[in-house]
Amino acid sequence: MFDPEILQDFLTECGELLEQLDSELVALESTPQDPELLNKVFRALHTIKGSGSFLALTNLVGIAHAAEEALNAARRGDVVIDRSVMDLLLEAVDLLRKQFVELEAGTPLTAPRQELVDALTRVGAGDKVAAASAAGGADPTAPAQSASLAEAASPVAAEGDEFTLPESKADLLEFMVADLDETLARLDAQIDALRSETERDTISGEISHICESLARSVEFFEFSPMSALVSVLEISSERLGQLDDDCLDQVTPRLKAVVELLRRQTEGLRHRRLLPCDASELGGRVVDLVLGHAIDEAAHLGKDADIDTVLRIDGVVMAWSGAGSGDASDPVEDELGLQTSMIEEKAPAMESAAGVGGSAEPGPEGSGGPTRIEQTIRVEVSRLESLLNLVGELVLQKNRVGAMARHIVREDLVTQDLREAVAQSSSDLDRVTSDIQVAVMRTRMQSLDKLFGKYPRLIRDLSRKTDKKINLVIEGGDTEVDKSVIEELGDPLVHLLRNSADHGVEPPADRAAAGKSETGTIKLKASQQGDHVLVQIIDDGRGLDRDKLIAKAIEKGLISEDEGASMSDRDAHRLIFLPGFSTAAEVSDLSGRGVGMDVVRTNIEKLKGAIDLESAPGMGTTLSIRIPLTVAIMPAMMVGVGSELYAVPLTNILEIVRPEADLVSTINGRRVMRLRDTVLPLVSMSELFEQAQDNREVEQFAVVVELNEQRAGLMVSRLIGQQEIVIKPLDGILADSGAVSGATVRDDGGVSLIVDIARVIRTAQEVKAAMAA
Amino acid sequence: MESASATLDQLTTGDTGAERDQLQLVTFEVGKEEFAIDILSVQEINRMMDLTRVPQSPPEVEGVINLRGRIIPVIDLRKRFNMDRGERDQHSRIVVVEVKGRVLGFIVDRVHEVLRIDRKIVDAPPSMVSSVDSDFIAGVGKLPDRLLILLDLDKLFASEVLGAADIAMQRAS
Repeated sequence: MFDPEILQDFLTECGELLEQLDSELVALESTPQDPELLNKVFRALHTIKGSGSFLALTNLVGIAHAAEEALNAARRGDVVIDRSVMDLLLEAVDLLRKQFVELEAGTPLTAPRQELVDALTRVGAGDKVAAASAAGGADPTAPAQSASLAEAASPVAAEGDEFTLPESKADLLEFMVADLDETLARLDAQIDALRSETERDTISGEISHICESLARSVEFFEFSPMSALVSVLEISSERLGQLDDDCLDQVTPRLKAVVELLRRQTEGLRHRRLLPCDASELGGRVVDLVLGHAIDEAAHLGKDADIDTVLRIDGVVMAWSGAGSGDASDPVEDELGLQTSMIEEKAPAMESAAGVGGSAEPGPEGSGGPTRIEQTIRVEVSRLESLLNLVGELVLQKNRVGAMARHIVREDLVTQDLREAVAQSSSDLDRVTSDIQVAVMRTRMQSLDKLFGKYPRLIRDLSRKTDKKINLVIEGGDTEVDKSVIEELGDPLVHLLRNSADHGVEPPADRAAAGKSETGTIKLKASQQGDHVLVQIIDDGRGLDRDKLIAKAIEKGLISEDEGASMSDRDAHRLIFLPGFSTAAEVSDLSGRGVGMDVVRTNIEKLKGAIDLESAPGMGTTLSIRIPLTVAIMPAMMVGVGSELYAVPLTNILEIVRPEADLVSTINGRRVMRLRDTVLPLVSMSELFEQAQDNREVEQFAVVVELNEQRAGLMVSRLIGQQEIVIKPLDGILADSGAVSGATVRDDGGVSLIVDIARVIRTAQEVKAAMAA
Repeated sequence: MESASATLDQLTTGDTGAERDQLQLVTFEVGKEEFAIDILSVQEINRMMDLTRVPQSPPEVEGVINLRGRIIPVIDLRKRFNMDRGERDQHSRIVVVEVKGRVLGFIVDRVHEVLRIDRKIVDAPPSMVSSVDSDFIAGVGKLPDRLLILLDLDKLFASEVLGAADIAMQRAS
């Protein structure tokens, strides 16, 4: 149906806008008068609408247009965005998001609810009356607009002159052409009527009003040559009432010329042509005139100058002026070529919008609507990933050279020079690879705001549903983590925030009774700590009830009564991470969905991260998630078990000890060791990895590993040393294999498996459980 | 040197010319039987190398190897066909193939040759032709002197089939 590339561009660009819309709208609810924010939201909707109409997505355009209308009213101050208006807007954004998903899936787009469109339009309607009466007023931003106007108008001449539209678009275009014909005729009549001095004010108001709707339909199709012309009319219309007769004599013929140009463009549209037209001089003179600036003597028009004279004097060049005389039957086959040029054409329009947005108080009618686009580079993730693989390879090569260098240094055959050269190149390679590593990682880094931006909306909806007052405070959203981490972190965070809002924060009455402020606060805090990122969710709610947790765990058969009695607060709180544990008394719509905290924990562990919580009754709960900045490269300790070599993530290693025989004991067939004042369950690597009996060696070292403050001693036979390892995924058929989380290539080119510490700890817990039995 | 590259050119042009009635196959031996797969699915053929055992993996997975930075599973075709485990010798090879976007290797007793055959001499798989499950057979090529069993790699290495074998083993034990 559409060119997939254009559709992709649309989805990416507008998808980003849509993501921001949520949080911007929620922010708008607390500061409904913020002009910056209003403009931002308005522009985002406008761009979505404009691009959507280009793709002839009628349902999407319909809702975006209605929402945009409502916001326009708010921008003018005719409507204040209260809760009910916000609900409408949020519903509209939800629908847009749904439509995006449908667009991606290639299914038909859901039509907006008529009531929703009507309601938004009613909100928007407030602006029409008020706008018309306010139109005559002075506009302090006119100079800024004229500057941007020149920008918008000048590139026009370069545009291509023919186009075809996708068939689905043709209907819309015909409708627009008919509408334009009618509007232009009305405009022409009004400009003629300007001669009557008495009605000048009313008429200029009327003209301004017509221009406004004209601007809307032109922007709808994003025809920038036309937008530039319409802007000329818009700017001048606001000041027509104040001009003297002499000036008016210079202005009106020019305005009529502008209208004529628009008419010719419209005629061109009827024949699927967009005419190249440079009207920058004409536009510039009109603006100069209405602002009271002098224009060139040579450019002065005689009395009743006709349109052609004006066009000649003002140097307007238009390729195709005869209405209907063009070669309209000429078929244009290259539809794609056209669409591309149409997209490119948006660029100048955007620049002009940026110019308007930059002025202190943007006028109600900007010369263009499209949003300001940040300077960003989009890199295909697949390319980034292959780059990342290359870097992985480079790290591997570095390791190899390092290994060779070690060998060569031992040989007596090589000269001193060679030794030095090899050592030098090895260290160079080391430096370069680490630089590349860092640089490449950076290209994959994204700020957590990308995630956090979605949560104000989540909390708003939750607090409305639960009748609680919750204030979400976000800190450190600019902390950057790897893209893959962002993707994996999203769901767990939503779950945890829901938990905090649903179970943590109390209803206002309860809070008041407890002497707390009625509004609960949930703080979402992120910070970088070395090679890890710490994300915390801190609520000031009721906290976890130790006794309830223990009772529940006993009831579910997760722990014994004896265990419960002797359990520390911390261990009791951690019970919520056990599979099959859910604290909500009744399953609520919000968070009790059968998936519990254990799923969250598993997801975090997948990222090689850890989760922990602290809670004080009545004071609140703090959940802390620690995740590595990246999941592609990590430092590891290589260990030998029999003839096999394995990698143990260094972040999990606390220490490595060589247990004396008298410190190791066997309880109920399970081995443990005494490590200072604690008892450490031991896990034999050769048993864990089911090594053949003839391959086993004495396991003399205990690698003490820790995850989520649980420890185990991993028994290995040899220690090889530290290495930066590149994590390689295992093929799908190996997904359910033993306690391995991936594989890596060693410096000798062989493959080693990476030990999955979470599984080791779980095995160790079984040891502990068996001991207790 | 020159003549070698010329031959190579001829070969490649022959390939792109794609005489559609011809099949170009790689033939190999596993447990005294001769099998063939389409040459286009073969990425490379390697001598035996050290495999890294993966604990608790499906039984037919012999281990993983490093294929220029990529870790791929290697399947023992004898195990896959439920044949006796043979000795590895200097003829053993790892054939690396791409199946539905996945790259994996399988061990064969020896690789014979690259062969062009007429599509017409390939018949649909009869129910009993070899010790191999007929589900995995795409067809049988009748050469003047012998039969070639054309394998269906998609079915042979479908992950659900490998998983199922694993589950079946677990149930049996």
